[in-house]
Parts: sequence; C-alpha cells; structure tokens
Amino acid sequence: MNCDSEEIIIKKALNTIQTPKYDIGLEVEKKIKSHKYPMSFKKSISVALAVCLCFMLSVGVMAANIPSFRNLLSIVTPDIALMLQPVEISSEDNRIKMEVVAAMNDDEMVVIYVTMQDLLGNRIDETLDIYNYSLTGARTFNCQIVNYDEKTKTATLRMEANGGEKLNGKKVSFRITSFLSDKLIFDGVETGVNLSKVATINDSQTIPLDMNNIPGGGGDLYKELKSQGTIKVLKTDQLKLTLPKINFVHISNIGYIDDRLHIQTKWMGDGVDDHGYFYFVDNSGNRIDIYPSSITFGVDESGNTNYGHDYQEYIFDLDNINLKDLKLMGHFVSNGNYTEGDWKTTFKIQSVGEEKKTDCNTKFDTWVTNSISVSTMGITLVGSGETKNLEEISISANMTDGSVQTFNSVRSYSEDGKVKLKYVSPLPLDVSNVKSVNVNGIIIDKFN
Amino acid sequence: MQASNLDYTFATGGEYELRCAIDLYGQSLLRYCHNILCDYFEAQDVVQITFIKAYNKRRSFKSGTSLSAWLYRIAYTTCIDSLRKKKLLFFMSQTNTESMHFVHQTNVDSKFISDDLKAALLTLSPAERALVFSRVIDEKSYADLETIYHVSATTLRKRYERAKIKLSNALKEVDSYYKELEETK
Repeated sequence: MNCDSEEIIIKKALNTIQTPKYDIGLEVEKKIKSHKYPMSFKKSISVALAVCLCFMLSVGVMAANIPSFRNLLSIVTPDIALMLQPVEISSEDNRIKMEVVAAMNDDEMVVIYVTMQDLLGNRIDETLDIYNYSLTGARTFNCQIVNYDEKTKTATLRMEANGGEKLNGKKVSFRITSFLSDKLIFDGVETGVNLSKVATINDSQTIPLDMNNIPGGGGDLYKELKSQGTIKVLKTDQLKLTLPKINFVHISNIGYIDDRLHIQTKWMGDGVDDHGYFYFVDNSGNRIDIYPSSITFGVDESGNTNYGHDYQEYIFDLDNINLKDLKLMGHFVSNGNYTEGDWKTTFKIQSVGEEKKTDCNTKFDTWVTNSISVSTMGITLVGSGETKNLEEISISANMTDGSVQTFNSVRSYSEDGKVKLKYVSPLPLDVSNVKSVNVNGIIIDKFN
Repeated sequence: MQASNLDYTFATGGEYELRCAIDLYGQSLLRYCHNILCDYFEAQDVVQITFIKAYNKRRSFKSGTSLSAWLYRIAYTTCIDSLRKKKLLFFMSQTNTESMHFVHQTNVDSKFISDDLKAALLTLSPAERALVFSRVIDEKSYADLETIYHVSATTLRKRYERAKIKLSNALKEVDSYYKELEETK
C-alpha cells in the first residue's frame, strides 16, 4: 500500500499501541467447555436492566437471581450491600472451592468478599485463617472471617487490600495458596510462676544474641534492642515449665536481665503459625496493661544463638511496677490444620461511585499532603514525609444538606517517602453531595 | 493449517479448526479490537466472544469464502455491541457531566495506549477507528472491507478519507506526539 503523508503519521501512531499477546485459545476453550461465555450484548442488556432495577428498587432484586451474592447480602449491613458489585467467579483445588462473591473499590483500595467451601471434609471451619494470599496491584492486606455456615461448611471472608494505584477498572487476580483451620485458643492460661521468686540473672547465665540475625520480633522495646546490635538473652532450656493442657510450647527459662523481666519460651508444635503472649492479672482477675516486647531466635548444637524460630523471649520493662500480688497468665494459639492449594480468580473491579480529587498542601509535623481524593469508600490523603501521629489528623466531610460525615478508621502506609492515609467511611459516602472536606479545620472544597 | 484450507474446513470442523483460527487470526483481531475499543482488557473479552460466537455459528459460515473477513465482521459487531453496552450502563448509573468525566478517565489505561494517542483516536467514531485501522495497519482492500462492514466500497472510500484527515489533524493537535513522529519521518 502506498501511503500518503497523513497515512504515514497515522501508521506510526497506531504502531505505538501495545497489544500484548495472551493465550486466547486457552481462555476460549475453557469457556466453551464450561459454557461460561463472556456476556453477549443481549445478556448484558438483561444484566444492565437488572442493575437499573437495583438502582430503582433495591439490591434485593439482583440478589434474587444470584444465590451467593444474595447470601452475602444477608451477612453484610445494608449500607455495605449498596456498595457491593457482584463478581461470582470461583476456583476449585483440592476439593475446596473458593469464590470471589462481590467486591467494592475505589482507585487505591479494594474490599472483596470471598467464600471458602470444603466439598469433601472439614478443613474449613469457623476458625479459618487465610495464611498465604495475594491480590495483584495492592500492597497491604487484611483478611478476616465474617461468617461461617455450618450446614454448607462455607466460610465468608472479608479481604481488604490497600496501597494500589488506579485500581478502578483494572483486572486483578486474587490468589490463596494456603490457609489454617482447626484453631485452638488457650486463653487465661495460669503459668504457675511465682513472680516474687524470679531471680536476677547474672551475665554468666545469659547468652549473646545478634539482633541482625533473627527472624524478627515486636513491641515497644524492639527498636531499642535492635539498635544495640547484640543483646543478652537467657540461656536456653534451663528449666521446663509446662503449661496446662498445652503441648506445643513451654517456658524454658525466666529471670531478670538489667531490670527487665525475660520469659523464654520453647515452641515444639507442628503448627506453622503457633503463637501467644503473656500478661498479668491482679487479685481480682483484672488485666494489667503491661505489654511485652518479643524476640524470636534459634540455637545451634553448642547452645549459641542463631537464626531460627524455636525460642521466643518475651521482655517486660517493669519500671516502677510492683509485681507483688500479680499473676502471670498466658494466651496461646495453635492451628490443627494447614492446607495448601492454589485457588486463583481474575476479575475486573469497577467502582460503584464517582471519585473527586484535588491538589492540596497541608503541613503536619512530619509530613505534607499533596492531594486529597473522595470516593464512596472514604477519603484518601497522599503526601510525602513520615506519618508518626495519626491522632493529630482530624478529618470529616461536610455534606450539601448540612450534615457532617465522620470516619471511624484509618489505614496508613508509606513507600519511597510517599505517604497514603485512607480514612474509611462506616457508611457509603455520597460523593456527589460532598460539599467540602475538613482536614484539621482547613476546608477543602475545590475538587476536580 | 493454512488460511486457505481453513476457509473450507472451519464450517464443518471442530475444536481443532477453532484452535487453528485462533492461532492464525487471534492476535490481529486483538489488535483490531484494541484499536476500536481503546481498552486492552475489553479487547481481550471481545476477542474471546468473537471466537466463541464463530465456533457456535460455524455452520452458518459459507465454506470457501474468507474466514478472516467473517471473523473480522463478528469482531467488529461485537466491539460495537460492547461499546453500546458500556454507554447504556453509563447512562443508567451516571447523571451529571462531572461523573461522565470520571467514567471516561477510569477507562483510560495509558500503559498500552498513550493518553495523547487515545485522545486523538477518540475524536473518531468506533466505525471510523475500525476503518482506519483496517486500511492503514491491516492494509485490507476495499473489496474485503465491503464484506466486513456491509457497506459499498465507494462509501467506505469516502468515509476513510474523512476519517483519515480527522485523525491526522487530531494527532497534529497533540503537539508532543506530532513533533516526535515528524522527527522520525
């Protein structure tokens, strides 16, 4: 074909469009075999009309034709139901069926409702805990069981993913590769430790621990201990204090090091996520607010510390706290079942509402906001710096009818100096009726 | 299998012939749909529907005619259906121009098509985008295009000339894009 100058320009432009290859044949064959075709126009019109009716009447109209979605609507609150988009795509492996029932999202946060059903046995129960899972395009995750139906052995989970970018309208893949169940919880475990007889440990009874060669730890003291490089921990296995009805952990040493109470535990069970903590109660059984820090480590054959998960040492800073009349109690959790598999679904997420965004420049102690966006799911602040004190930020939405909508929870995450704070609304936020947003008394009302 | 053989065997064939058709025309149809829809993932869905429709209606395909043109015809009508559906859903759920802007924005996926090029392409109607792509990239003859679009070659020629000027003007308006292309001329 002989091209004129206009055609040359057009050709070059169109050739810049990237159309990556994918296995069309596989998808088509799968759908032909399962008779699960993508929606035809006629069918899509029916669905569109159903959507229309839902808008006009109620969510229940659509639900009548979609059992799993209808089931979900009976579990969630009506406010949440209004925000949900039905998905209903399932995946089966190892005779366990996972179904993504519905989702709601904006440009950087997705909430999906997933059901897990054991078609064979009792591997799914009310203690289900998803262990390994992912959603493409998002960074931080949270997954919790919200319902368990004993009759159908089906658990419903709410998975929240944050930290994405331009998620709306994207195809995402949700994948689960392992989960825990048959969880055993031991709360109020009496340790039998007489706190008044706990001895101070001299240096010869301690061993050094390289804080840069451990799997991790937590608590208020962790950062300080980590900065020390090498710390002293109790010599391992100097005693074996078993805990009632518990065979997966015992106290392997206890004592004071540098005025801090160290309680060393040895974990013996097979559970991949066995865990626990200690706490104190007074004579009346009231919990005392003293939170330990903890460090996980292992030891080699010579008794020297190394990288491992066998021991966990809990460290209490007990400055000005009298342990007399206090009892040491424990809370421990073990999982009987650890199930692996591959449950994966891909679906498109589409927000139910509009989103407004504007640039803004509000300075806080340690960070500065650059933009603010308002969606049905809440308000997102994006900025730079480091958020230290989230309580310093007060946010509300002023509505056109004069009412004020507040937010009951906040998610924060930082990456490459970029900070995102997501204030999640307990009720769907009617974006078209948001007049302004109040950030610490500063009114932002010019949205794009 | 060769394209000419498939023109004769597809109507009476089965999954093997379908797989051959996908291997032969799948990627070019995907590009074609992507160009019309300006949405890669939407294009994936449409191409899948195209082949499923073709498979289910294979008996109605006239043996010995161009399977390629028949598939392009199905893909074209499926794209138009998909765009109509989107428009319908849009009008049902959105009521103001602010929302319209939002919907437009969320469909943009600049990873595959630059925002500038997409803006220029969207100045054309879907039918014009299809026609321009068929002529400029696929270099289809007007005889083939008659089969695909069910419109006479004379009308198509006129439509194409108008669409071509419209698109090149839109591309010229996008400064950076035009300059870059001019430099590589």
